[in-house]
Amino acid sequence: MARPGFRKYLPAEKLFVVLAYGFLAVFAAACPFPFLNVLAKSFSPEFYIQQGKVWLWPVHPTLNGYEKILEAQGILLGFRNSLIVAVVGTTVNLVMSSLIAYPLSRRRLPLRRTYVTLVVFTMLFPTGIIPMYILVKSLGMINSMTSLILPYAITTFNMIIVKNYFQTVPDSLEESAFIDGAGELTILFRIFIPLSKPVLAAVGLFYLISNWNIFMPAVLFLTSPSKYTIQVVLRDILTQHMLEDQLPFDKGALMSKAGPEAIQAAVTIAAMIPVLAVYPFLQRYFTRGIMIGSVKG
Amino acid sequence: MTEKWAAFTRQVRKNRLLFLMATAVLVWYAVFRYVPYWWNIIAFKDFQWGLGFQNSPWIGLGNFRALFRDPEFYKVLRNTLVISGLKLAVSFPFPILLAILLNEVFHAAFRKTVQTVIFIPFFISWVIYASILSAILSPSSGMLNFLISSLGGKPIYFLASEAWFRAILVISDLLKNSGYYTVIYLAALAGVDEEVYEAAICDGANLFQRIRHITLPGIAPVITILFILKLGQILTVDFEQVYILYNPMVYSVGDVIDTFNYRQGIQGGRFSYTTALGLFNSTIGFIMVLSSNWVLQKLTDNGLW
Repeated sequence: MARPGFRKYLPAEKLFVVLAYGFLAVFAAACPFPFLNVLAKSFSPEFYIQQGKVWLWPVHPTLNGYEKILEAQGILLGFRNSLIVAVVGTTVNLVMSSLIAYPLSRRRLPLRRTYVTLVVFTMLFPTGIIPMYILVKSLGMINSMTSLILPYAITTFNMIIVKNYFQTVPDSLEESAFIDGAGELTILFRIFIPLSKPVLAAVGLFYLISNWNIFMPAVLFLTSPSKYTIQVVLRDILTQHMLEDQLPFDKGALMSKAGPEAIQAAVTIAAMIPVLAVYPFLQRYFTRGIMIGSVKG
Repeated sequence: MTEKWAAFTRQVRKNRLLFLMATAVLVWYAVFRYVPYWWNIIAFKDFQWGLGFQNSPWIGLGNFRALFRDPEFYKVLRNTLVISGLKLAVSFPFPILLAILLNEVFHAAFRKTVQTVIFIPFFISWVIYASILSAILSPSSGMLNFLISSLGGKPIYFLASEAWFRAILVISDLLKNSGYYTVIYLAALAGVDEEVYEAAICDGANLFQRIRHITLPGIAPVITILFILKLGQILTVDFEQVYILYNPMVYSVGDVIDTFNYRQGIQGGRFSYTTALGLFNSTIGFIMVLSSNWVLQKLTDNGLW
């Protein structure tokens, strides 16, 4: 940035910049603080947590909390179910979104304006909870992983981002491909998708994270605990814990090594790992991908 | 007409596969978005699973009349509006402030670090975030309460306190989502040419004038778009956030339309009644988006479309 050096600033400007640094530093430090507390708790014995001894560093570090996860069938199943939804769901999302983004991005598509209007309308007029529930139930998808994937195969907002990016691909490219005898699918998979990698990466990561985090549909549609995703499992652990918080507390019962608090902390950290793992990529592609794609088209 | 039709069929024939692709996915939209719209009709019936759609009796506006006479409806409507309003007043402008401040920072590494740290929580689910919050707020083992009691105070059960609950919703929304919007505003600012700032400095504009006349106009279109979208959601407070954090002790201040709808509809089986409420909700949201877009277009030339 080629702005004048700090030294050339007026006193009031200097004060403003110093305050800006201070404010941002405090805010940025406050954000990860609770997270570090949970991380420390996940590696500490229950006893010390209940004593209020664990702040930002584990006390008498132990892996007990995490070992308890491996012993608990329900928690492991939750992770497995979430993984299925994330992997299968994101694949479906990307295929479906590209399949419609491509035709909608081409002016030669018959009824293009009508189709775009029909699609955009669904963004503006939300589907109610109850009608969605009735639909899923009448299709016989209640209590199945399909109910978390099929009704959410396309997020219109994400699809529009892909479509807008596809629109920047010049017509001349596909025209020459047509002359070479390529079909629509070949053009989509051989020209458009390779050209749109940053946008598809960004949108793919968006889909991946929302699939891993999917919650309301899981609460609505899943009825048996063996189908629960990790988010719902954690919800159960959390509400159980909140409930106990309201009762007079018997701390003596929690002297065991990995109690509810330590296990909750361990599950919380474990459930965050996939998000943290893709976070560097997300950061890299977010501004590049989303911003290019959001340009009005 | 026939000529138009001929032109249309010719266009379809020429782009057969393209049209087929679009239409095939449109079928998905028809089933999973438009069929639920159609199911909204049960708002005008007394729908019972046993009878099915066909045989459930029509009752006209009966469900809406019951809704508008229900004191519970006004309670959740008020809660929804208050919480949405607070978020609009507090957690909507906050990222704008963060972006303006970050834009005036000299050290690129500092800016990058702050961005990285505050951007993360947006992508973490409310369940996980609530679990983290409870590590702070829990009366039995939360850090904040240990702090309060070590200072001689009485532990507060924040999540069961009518006085605190709305504040918790607004603050947690601010902490979780500010970073995301800040990054969006900063991306918009990246489009502002640095030369504009340099020219302003040459003309003797001070820091505050630069913020007022360059930075703010630079993000104004994005602010407009996000504001319209937020207005459209005025009757939908983040279901996940409230559902995870609330409990019967704070229903009086924290129960919102969506959570009420869930309890009455899915758990209570009052399908028609809650569909009426949902339809009311969607319609208001739709009208809000259209009208605020129209007004802002008149006022600022920026709009959604």
